[in-house]
Amino acid sequence: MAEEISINVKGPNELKLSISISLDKTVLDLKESIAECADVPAAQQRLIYSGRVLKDDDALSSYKLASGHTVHMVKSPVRRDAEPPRQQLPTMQTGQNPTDPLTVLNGPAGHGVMAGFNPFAQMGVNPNDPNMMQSMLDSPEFLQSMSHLMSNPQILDQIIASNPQLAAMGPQVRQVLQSEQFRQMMSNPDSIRQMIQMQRMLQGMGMNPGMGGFPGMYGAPGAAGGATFPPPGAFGTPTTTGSTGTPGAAPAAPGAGTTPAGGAGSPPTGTGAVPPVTPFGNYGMVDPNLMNLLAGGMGGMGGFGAPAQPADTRPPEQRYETQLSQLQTMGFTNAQQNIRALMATGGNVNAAVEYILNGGGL
Amino acid sequence: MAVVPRNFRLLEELEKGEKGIGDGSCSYGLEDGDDITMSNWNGTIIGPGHTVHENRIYSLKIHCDDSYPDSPPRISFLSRVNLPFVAANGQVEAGKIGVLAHWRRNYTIETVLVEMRKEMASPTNRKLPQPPEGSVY
Repeated sequence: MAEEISINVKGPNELKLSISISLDKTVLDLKESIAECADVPAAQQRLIYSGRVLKDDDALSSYKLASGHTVHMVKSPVRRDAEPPRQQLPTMQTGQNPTDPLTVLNGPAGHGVMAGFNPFAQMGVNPNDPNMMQSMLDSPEFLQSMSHLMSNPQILDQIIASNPQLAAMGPQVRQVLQSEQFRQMMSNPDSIRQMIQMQRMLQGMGMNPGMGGFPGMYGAPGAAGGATFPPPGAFGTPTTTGSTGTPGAAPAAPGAGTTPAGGAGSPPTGTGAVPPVTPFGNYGMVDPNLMNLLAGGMGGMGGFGAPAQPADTRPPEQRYETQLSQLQTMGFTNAQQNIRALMATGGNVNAAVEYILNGGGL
Repeated sequence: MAVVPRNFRLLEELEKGEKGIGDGSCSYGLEDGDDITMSNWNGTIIGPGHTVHENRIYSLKIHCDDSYPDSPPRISFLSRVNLPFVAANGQVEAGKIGVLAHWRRNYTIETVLVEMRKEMASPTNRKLPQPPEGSVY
């Protein structure tokens, strides 16, 4: 029996352990002993002693450890590939979790911009930040996963099932969502940009976002769901300056629901007799069916949260690294407060500054 | 004040390294415990948090020649790293980092490691793109 020594282990968060172990044990044995006392599995531990990273298979004696010596333990980050496979179906309510700061922000109390359209909630992307959105849309990965999503019938089923309006529309929705054209549209950054632009414009016209999700779609499934889609030339005129739009067009506003309930802006009370409203009919710019469909599609997406990419599980310190250092350079030195402010504002530095100046996050 | 001779100084540092006195962000020890000249040392720096270095462990080699601690140790990174004071072969360029350029006799191996760690967290270096973790020179 080899000599038993008592060593100290120092780890993250002031962790201090004293462990007795025989010198003929291996480093892996030591890690397992540490795992018993600390909440860090052996596989995630990295041990450092005397300027060296200890290798699992080596015997402790080879490092000349002696009683009273200290080994430092560093926790490795959980590896991406160790995470559960992302093909797991998305949790339906992620985008609508009332405790999710982004959802709250998007709710009636928040800015309400693009309410219901927040497939990015978990990705640390603030959908209210146009630049963020822009860069998202430019990312080929995002577009790819968007189109991938749309082609997965299981996910489509979930989207439809999660959304009463969509479900009420029956099989046509499926066809639409699965249609090549819709997929192309969803994966085309320009179309999405135009939709966003459209929403802004509608808001600029004094309409509250979320004025009834997509009643046109619900009310006239025949017209909206079954129609040829998209009508040719629908997006022919992207520069929609139409500040002259009539408020009467409101019900067809594509700003799907402000409520945390994502795209389900309006309760399914329609009678099916409401004719599709043509917000831009006078200008012949955009086919209302198309708008409705898009609103519906986007709303549906709001419903299923963020499966487009693996959820950002990084701690907020990492997620908001850029913003944190910006706040630091602005002279906001309370790191904890900065993090809380960024979490509350979904990573928007300007909003975070305001939040801090108002005494938030203390 | 009496000048502490090289070997006493290094013995002191060795003990401190083994016992792990300090904040634990840096670690160092003799490469070969039987080396009575105490010239070659290993060091590690745990990458500072909230930077690109977070969760990384950088391994270094430290050479204390006969003139130590009157002159600074020679240091090179074993783990690949992108920092302005580290040459393409991993060698730390003494002229480019204050702690070595303005060496004082009371500085220790730990001082150097801690200072380099601070550099990693400096606003200019904290976001430098880094080679993949685990790659070595």
